[in-house]
Formats: sequence, structure tokens, C-alpha cells
Amino acid sequence: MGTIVRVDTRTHQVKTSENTAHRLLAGRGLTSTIVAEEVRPTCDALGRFNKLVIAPALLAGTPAMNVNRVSIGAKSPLTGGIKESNVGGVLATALVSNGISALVLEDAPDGGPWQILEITDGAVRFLSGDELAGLSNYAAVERIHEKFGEGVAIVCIGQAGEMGLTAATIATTDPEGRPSRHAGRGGLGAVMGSKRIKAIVIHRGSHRPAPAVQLQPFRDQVSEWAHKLSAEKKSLTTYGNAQIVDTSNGVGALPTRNFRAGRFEHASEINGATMAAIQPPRGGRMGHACSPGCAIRCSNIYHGPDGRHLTSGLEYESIGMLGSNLEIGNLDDIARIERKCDDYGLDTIEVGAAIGVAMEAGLIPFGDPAGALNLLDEIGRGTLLGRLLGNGAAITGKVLGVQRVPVVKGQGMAAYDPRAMKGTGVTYATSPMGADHTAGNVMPGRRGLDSAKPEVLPHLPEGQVEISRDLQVMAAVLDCTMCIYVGYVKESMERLAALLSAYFGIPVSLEDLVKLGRYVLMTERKFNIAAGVGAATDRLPEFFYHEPLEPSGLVFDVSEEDIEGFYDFSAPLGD
Amino acid sequence: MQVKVSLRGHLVQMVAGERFRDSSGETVIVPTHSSIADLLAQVGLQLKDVGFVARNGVACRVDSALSDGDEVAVFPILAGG
Repeated sequence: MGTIVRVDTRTHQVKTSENTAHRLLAGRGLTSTIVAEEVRPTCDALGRFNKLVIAPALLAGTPAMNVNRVSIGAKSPLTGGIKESNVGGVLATALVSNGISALVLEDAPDGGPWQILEITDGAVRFLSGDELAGLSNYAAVERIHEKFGEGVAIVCIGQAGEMGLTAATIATTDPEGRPSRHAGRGGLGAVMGSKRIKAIVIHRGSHRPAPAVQLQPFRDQVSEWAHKLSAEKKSLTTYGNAQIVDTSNGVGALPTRNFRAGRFEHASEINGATMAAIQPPRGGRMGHACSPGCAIRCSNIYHGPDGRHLTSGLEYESIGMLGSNLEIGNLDDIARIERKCDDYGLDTIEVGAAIGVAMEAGLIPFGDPAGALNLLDEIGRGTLLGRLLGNGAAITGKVLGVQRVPVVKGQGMAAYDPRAMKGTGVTYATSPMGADHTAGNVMPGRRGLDSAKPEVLPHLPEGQVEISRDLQVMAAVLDCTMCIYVGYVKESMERLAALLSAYFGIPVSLEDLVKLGRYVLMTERKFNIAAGVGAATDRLPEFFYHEPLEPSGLVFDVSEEDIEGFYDFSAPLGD
Repeated sequence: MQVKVSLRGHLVQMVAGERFRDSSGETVIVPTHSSIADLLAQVGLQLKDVGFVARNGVACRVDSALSDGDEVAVFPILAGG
């Protein structure tokens, strides 16, 4: 089962114990369980009593596909509630090779020097990190590679995390060794910074996860599912998730000019087809696997017009929030802004929402990429204005006097307007994570656990609470086990149940997985209620209820009564 | 009657000749009283490959009836996001 490694960042003591959690608890299930059991909900998220938990997914390191994901959890300094942020890269396999089920950073020093944690064969030691202090992610990673070699996996924070900004991410390295994969949401980089840990360097160890109990059935399940994913997700391989630009724009849900409109006149210039057309001639590429063993390969390596690497993993949500939301209709401009976010260690979604609000306030005009880059440099330098923006859209709106602020529980919405995609609006409102699309994104055409139910149309209020609940349950299951890109659909749950049954050699049913998803959601919900982030915060900002979205004229009209019933279920985990 | 059809993502490659490559749409003549499902069959797409369909910028069910002049965008099944 691996070990739980607890690192006291104040005393530098390290304690290792056997992981005795329920066999299905890994990834988000484990981070949220540890945070819920051990972190006082009312604590200061950047104080001594918060814990940062880093846990690989359940089957990470095994031959299964799309399983090398990592959950990073803590109390969020942005939402005040519990947080799990999920990331790819090479971190999961590195942790598993050291036998680690969860790395828990505890307590916090009263300032003092920056530290690096070096992990070798499951053992942790503290090294001075002062030489990395003040460096951006790309610069820090370059130094770390020089010192520790190219083969290490790296977790690090940029200037944003050092400053404790609530839009700060935790960066992890991709297969090329670049800090392009981020646990982006909820300000977890600030939590890592509060513990004065600038970076974690993980050497590949010799530990291997236990083989499947029913080896051949496990291999057969993996082979069949991997082939199916590879065949059915060709659009993602070819165009990346940037193809969602067309989808969102097609149903009028692509945030444009700070969520004023859902259609963007330059959508075809920032979509997946455009990216796929311009990248190969420059030496960039689509179809990149962000983590080992991915059968879908939806990521990309993005080169600039000069043919040099500009960024990696330029995804739809960044394109929407840093592009159309800011009225920026050029992919290279968006890629430059996104690169700066990665480098300073900033959540592209939160920063996109904050700059959109700043544009609404007239700080810079919409459609000004140079102005947006300047604002990012303000954040990197830690100026007063930069710290304002780096603390997210909600604070930016308050200080600049803007009421059109797209946040729930203090967290910026991703690039899906909830008036045109109402199920995603329900997820924004009810998820313990705040306005987080990855918690259960009700894209057009998606269905819930009961495939006999009629299709829910995204612009109508009927059926949205039910489908959001089903998708949030399935997303929670996948956050424990696999990348959500395998699809949160009933078929994935059934295949996953079969895969886990073969792995453990005991039956795991669809019902067991539904119980797991519900348990995770309810564990997080209970924490949030105790933290003061309960039902009263399950609301979208008022303008979504009365301001018609252009050009459809839609408003968010899912009834409050329906939303209040979202958590009407029990959630025992069972045996 | 005439409708304008555009296919998105890899659906373009699933139709012979890739005649729906242009995102602004290709005109298709369909019999009166055709539904979206009829149109999909006519252009050579199987329902199992289709994620959803938007008619005049609004998502609709495949049994919806078409009207002359409709603009129909067909999207593949999406994961992630």
C-alpha cells in the first residue's frame, strides 16, 4: 500500500508510516480524507495548522493507462474551503517509485530560509533553497537540473507562491523536464510557500507497486481500454482540448469580454484546428502525452513564430480565460501570457478572470495583450497592483469597484459561461472546490449515470442538478484513480470497476465506485460547512441571474430550491 | 429545403471527401420534414460518433425537426475539459 511520509516543516522531523487507508482511497480521496481528519477547518490556510498533502492516484506506476496523476490537497487560502488540485507530469511515477502514497507537509516555520526537500528511496532530507529564492519556475527548474541531474521529478513554486498570493500554483515537471504541469487551482502554491518549501526534488527510486492479483485479466482490461481510448479520442490527440473553443463558441458559452458574451468573433483563430495547423511547421506538436502511459495524448508543445519553445500544455481553459475573456484573438499572444503564468506560478484561470475584471474597470482596455503581459510582470515583481491581481478576481473586483466578477466561493470560473451551460453552473455553485469545472463539467452531450434518462440540453434548467451531481460523483472517482479525460461517463466507471476488480482480486462494483465518489464529496462538504463555506455560498454571482448573455439572451435560471437539494444523499464508504 | 452544415473536430475526416471542412458550413439539400438524425444519416455520420448538435447556435436533440435555412453544427464526443 505504500507509506505516508509526514514532513514537519518547522522542526524538519520526518515520520514515515504505513498507509492504512481504505484500499480505494488514493489521489483526491486520500488528500481530502487526511485534510478533513487532520486540519482544523477554521485554521488560517497559510498558518501552522494547515497541511499540504501530495498523493498519487490509485494505480499510478502500474501498467494501466492514464493513471499517473497526482492530487494535491489542503485548505485553500482562496476559497477558505477544502481543495484538491489534480496534475499530470512525471510526479506520480516518481512518488510511487519511492513507495510514497502521500507526502504530507505539516506545520510552518516563522519565516526563515527557503528549503528544498530532496527525496531519495523514500527518505526525505532538507537542503537550503535560498539560492532558488526569487526565481521563476523555469529558472528554478534549470538550476535544480544542473545540481541534481536531468532525471529528477520536480515540484516547485514561482514568485507567486513565495509571496503567498492566492492565485499561486504548484508546478510539476513534464516528461521534457519543464515546469508546465500545474496544480493550478485554489492557491495551493501559497500553502507550499507558507511552509517555506521552494521545491521538492524526487529521485527515481526502486519501489514498484504490487502487481495485479489477476494479472492476465488486468492486462486484458488495460489493453482493451487503452485501444478504445486511442481510437475514440482522436480529436483530442489531433486538436488537443483547444477544440473545446468550437464547442463553447458553438453553444454560446465561450466567455468573452469578462463574461459579457458567449460568442467570440475570433474563435476560429484560437481553436484547436488553428493550433494544429501552425505548430508542426514551427517544430511544435500536438498529440503530446503530459504523463507516462497516456493513451489519449491531448497535450501540446507550443512553439512561437521564431520556432523556439514558448510553452507546453496550452489548454482550452487558458485559451478561453486569457484569450476570448480578454478579447485577445491571437494564439501566440495567449501562449505568451500563459507562459508567464507558468513561469511566475500563477493559475491561468484565476488570473484570466482577474485581468478580465481589471479590463472591465478600465485599468487596461480589452484586447490589449501587451497590457496583459505588463500586468503579469506587476505580479511577478510583487508590486501593490500585482499583489492585488495575484490574489484573484474576487479581491480585484472589490478593490476596483467591479460587480461583474465571475467567482464562486471566491474562486474564478473557468471558460464556460454558466448561463449557456447550466449544468456546469450547478457544478460551480455546489462543488466543494468552488467554481471549478474539473469537479464535474456538464459539456453538451454528456449523460449521467442513468443512460436511459433523456439528454439534458445545456441551455435549459431542467435536469441540471441531477446531471451535475452524477458528473461530480464520477469526477471524484476519477480524481482518485485516473485522468478525467478517460471521460466521466458510466462506461468509464464500469471499465474502472472491472480493472480494479482484477487488480485487487476482489469484486469492485459500479456501486462501490459511486459510494467512493459520494464519500469524497461529502467528506469535503462537511469540512467546508465547518469552515464556514456551506450552503449559503452555493450561489453564482447575481449578474448571471439577471443579465442576459449575448447573443443568446440566456440567464442562469436553475432554481435555488433545486440547488439546495444537491447534497441530499448519504455517503458511507463501506468495506 | 436547404440547410447549412458544418462538422467539427475529427468528424470532418469521417465523411467521404471531407466536404464539410469549411467551418462556415456547406449547403445540403434535405427532404421536407427531415430531422437532425435524418440529416446526419444523409451526410454519412453515425449517431454513435456524434457528441451533440447545435442548430442556429443552440444545442438540440437529434429528433428535432429541421427548418429551411437552419445552420447545423455537429460536434464530436468530448472528454475532459
